[in-house]
Amino acid sequence: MAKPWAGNAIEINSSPKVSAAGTATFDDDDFDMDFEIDSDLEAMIAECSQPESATTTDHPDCGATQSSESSSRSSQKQTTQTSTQHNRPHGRRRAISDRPRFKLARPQQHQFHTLDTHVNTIAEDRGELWWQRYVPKSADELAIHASKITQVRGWLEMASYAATHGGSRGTDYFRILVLEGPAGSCKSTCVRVLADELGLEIVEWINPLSGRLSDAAQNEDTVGVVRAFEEFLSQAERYTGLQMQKSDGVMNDGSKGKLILIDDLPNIGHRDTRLSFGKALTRFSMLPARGSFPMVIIVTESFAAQQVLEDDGRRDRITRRFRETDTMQNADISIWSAMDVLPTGVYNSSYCQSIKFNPVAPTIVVKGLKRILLLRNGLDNVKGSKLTSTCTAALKTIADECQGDLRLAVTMLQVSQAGNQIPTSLDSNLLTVGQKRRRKVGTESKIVDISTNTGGETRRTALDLFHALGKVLYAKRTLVVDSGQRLTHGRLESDPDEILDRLPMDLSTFGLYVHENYAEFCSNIEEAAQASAYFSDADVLGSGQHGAAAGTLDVYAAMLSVRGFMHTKNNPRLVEDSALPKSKSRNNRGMTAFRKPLFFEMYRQRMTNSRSLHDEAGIEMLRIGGLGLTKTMETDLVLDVLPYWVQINARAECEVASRHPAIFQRLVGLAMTDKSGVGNTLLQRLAVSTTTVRTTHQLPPMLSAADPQEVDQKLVLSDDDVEDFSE
Amino acid sequence: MALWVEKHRPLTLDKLTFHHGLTEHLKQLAGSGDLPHLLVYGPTGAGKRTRIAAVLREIYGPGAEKVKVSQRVFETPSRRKLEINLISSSYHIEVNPSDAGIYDRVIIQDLIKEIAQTQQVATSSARKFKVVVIHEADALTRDAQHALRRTMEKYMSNMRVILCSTATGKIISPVQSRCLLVRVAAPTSEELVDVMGQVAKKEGISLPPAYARKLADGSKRNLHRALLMLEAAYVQQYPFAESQDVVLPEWELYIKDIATAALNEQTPAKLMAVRKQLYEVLTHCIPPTTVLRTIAMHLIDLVPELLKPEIAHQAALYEQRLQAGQKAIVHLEAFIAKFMSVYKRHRMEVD
Repeated sequence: MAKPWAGNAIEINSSPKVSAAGTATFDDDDFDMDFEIDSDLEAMIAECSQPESATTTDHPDCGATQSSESSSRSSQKQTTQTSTQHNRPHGRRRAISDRPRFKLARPQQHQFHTLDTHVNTIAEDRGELWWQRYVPKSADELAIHASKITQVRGWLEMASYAATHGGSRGTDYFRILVLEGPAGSCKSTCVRVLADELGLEIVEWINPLSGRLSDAAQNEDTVGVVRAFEEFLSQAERYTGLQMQKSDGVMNDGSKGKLILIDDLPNIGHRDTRLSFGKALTRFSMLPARGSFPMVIIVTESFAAQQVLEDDGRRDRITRRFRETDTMQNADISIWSAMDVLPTGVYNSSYCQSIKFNPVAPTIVVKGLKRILLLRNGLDNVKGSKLTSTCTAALKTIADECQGDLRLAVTMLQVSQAGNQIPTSLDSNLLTVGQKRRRKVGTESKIVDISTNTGGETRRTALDLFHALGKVLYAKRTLVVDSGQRLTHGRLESDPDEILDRLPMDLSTFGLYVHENYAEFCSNIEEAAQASAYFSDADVLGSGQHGAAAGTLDVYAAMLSVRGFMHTKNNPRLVEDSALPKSKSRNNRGMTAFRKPLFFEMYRQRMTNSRSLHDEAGIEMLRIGGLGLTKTMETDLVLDVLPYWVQINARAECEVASRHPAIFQRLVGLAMTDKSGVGNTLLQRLAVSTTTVRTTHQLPPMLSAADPQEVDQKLVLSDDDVEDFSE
Repeated sequence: MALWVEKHRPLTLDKLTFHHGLTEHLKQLAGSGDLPHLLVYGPTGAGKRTRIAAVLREIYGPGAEKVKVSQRVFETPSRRKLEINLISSSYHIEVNPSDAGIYDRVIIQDLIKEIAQTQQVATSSARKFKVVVIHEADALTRDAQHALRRTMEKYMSNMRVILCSTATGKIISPVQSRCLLVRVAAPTSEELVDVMGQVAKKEGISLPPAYARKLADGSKRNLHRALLMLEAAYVQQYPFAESQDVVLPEWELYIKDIATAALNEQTPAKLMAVRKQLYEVLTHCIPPTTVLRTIAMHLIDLVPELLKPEIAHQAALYEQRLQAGQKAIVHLEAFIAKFMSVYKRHRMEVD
């Protein structure tokens, strides 16, 4: 396991020399090289003589893949090591340990005036990703907002206090902490770093590999996983119990206890697994805080394509641009959030607290990237180090593009740097440290220069949804000088294919967005009619009734609707035909708010309604109304029976309505009776005649507009009052 | 309080009030001791189900009326669980496979196999076979129909199938040829008036013939609806007045409002408003085709003669797309937009 080139173990021995290499030996390059190699040889020898366990200690904590044992071991080691090195600056140690021990010092690198450390680190990078390598080690290195750190730390402190001392009221509730947030928002790292800081030992659940389980004569290996999870939980508890007895709350080595970390969730998509996972969690949350240990669950929110917008951090920004009516519906659409993962009973209980992580802000991303760059150049603890402006600009580009995913940002940085290693690219895409030159000038500041090529060549950036929508809906055209043709209406400024290529979501969802918003951009009904005809065609195309061709036709469908609309928009032919002066251009009337498609919301509502016809309400109606065999016929029920049934029963003695007001009102809603004037009076009458039963909260707002006398009467007779009285 | 339409439903063949020739045929069939597979078809509210129930009663006696509703769980090949409501007596079983969507084949096969493989237990019963009634047979998928075709032959000895459907067009011909086709036509207005008169007499109310006629016309020769209308009107205002309006279902009024709105204003803004209303209707489980048809019919009533063919043409076009497509709202809206533009041009030409 100990690789000759990656031994990180002996920074204590070599550090004085290396730091000397970093500063004093800079004037003479050759000497520097020799010196480096010497120290590396020394390092190698030292490493070989050291026990293997020492080698593991200094590896960056790449949590996701670590087993619970090794993580516990490494964190213990870390604490001991910290204690021996406590008087040396933290960052310094990191920097030096990152320096390689053995490398090829190629002369040509030399000629580029790059610091040899750079070359070395690259050589060492093989097979390791930067986000694993440069994982933060202390809380101030974390790339999240300080208040979030405080929140999490506060919780962990309280929880570990509750676990060791228990007792005091309030601390009992610190059982489960849920960290929610999009990928790459530092959730896991935050927990690990803080746990380390507080001396908590992390016990982590790792999903077993399915390969092993299939051997175990299990029909469904998911069941195996569930069982394993339950075992894991109970073991974690039992183990803590033993430890508690032994030392009675006072841990040695400053370790205050353990933290159960669930980062790697079992397969929640499978129903049975989800249920038993929920059961296990419920049981866990019921345990008394004292004598057992707190749990941190990390839920990475992910969203189905149509819910891209629901992304937590972007929601604020986007809802502002939606109209008010829409924001109401936004709240509950996220498809895969903590609510789906945890049983609601647990999630809403007071034993569970949830902290939401936002995507990392671009400025913080830049800060994090800068830290890595400086680390790589051994300049992290040198006061006044800064990046050149081109370098900062490059980092900004990365930060903007990563959409708040820090892991992605770091990888992008690494890739952009790896690209620089190609010797042919001489266009100064190299990471150079201008330290030498600067020193001659006499300043103390050190400057890292990098220019990344994350621009158009490596990755085409996705358009922002609103940008793409705007491009389609405004369909701006540049006027071309027409050569004889009367009807040209200019060339489109943005190519439809280009827009479709760079969509942030899937094609059919984008089609829905266009469809939801197109009508406002049509200046007359002819345009709208033609555009909607295109949409209709596109839907038929995209409906995938064509067997194997299903997926491929999506592209045509999207193209048809986008091109169709853009062609139709402001088409002079249509304007002429209508023989109307063109109404004032839509482009001049300022910003138009885009709306989110109602389609999904409406679909769900329809499903709910349909279900309630078959469920309690429907069955109850049939029972009360004495209807016989019509039960199974939904269309019949909706079209004929229900509307008349509601009317007949509401106008008769109101017997049904008074006995089952809630159900009756749902049926009234289903029959659309509440949409008309008849319905209004009906509901008002209902309100009066059923005041003895608690229905007030379900009445539609129209009641408030009813005459005050009636409202008064209702208030007097309201069931709520009776309840208050009895209390 | 049962609705009149249930309360006064004729339970035996003898009590059926119209289509006497058909009734005679059914009586002979039921009395002959054997029954072929039946395919009963005709428009809604013509009395198909009433006749089926009456035939069952004729065959098995009053025992066929003792039905219970139960839920059965079927498992699809992909191990999804489906819950289906069944209505059954000890002699027959009724199922509506369209509840199961594309998995109806599973239900057809499982259910029929199960019934066919168990012999009639009650020795007292005169018949050796059980009956499976399949409602909304035209909603059966092709797969299910082919499955049905085989099972119909294989288990002929102790099982009969009665299919109930609004039209024969969607039933594949091999299944049609294995059934005796029974057409139940919509009752004429006279027959409707007659039936309503009988119901009114039983309820002890007086129904003036003129108003009965109005109800019969309003119901579009749908007996089921006519009786519901009668009861609703009775609740609304009694004694009946000649001028009293026919009670229409709310959704129909609402859809007619949409059509009127399109007629009054032809702008993109109105189109947006209409879309909201369309969504409203769709979320209340009104089938999109019904929406489109109601709007189209209402518009045809209102527009000048010249535009009628154009509107019918567009309605047909968009209904076809509605069937082929997935998102009903897109097609409904496109139809409205098309109508608006056609109507607007017409108005300009007139001006």
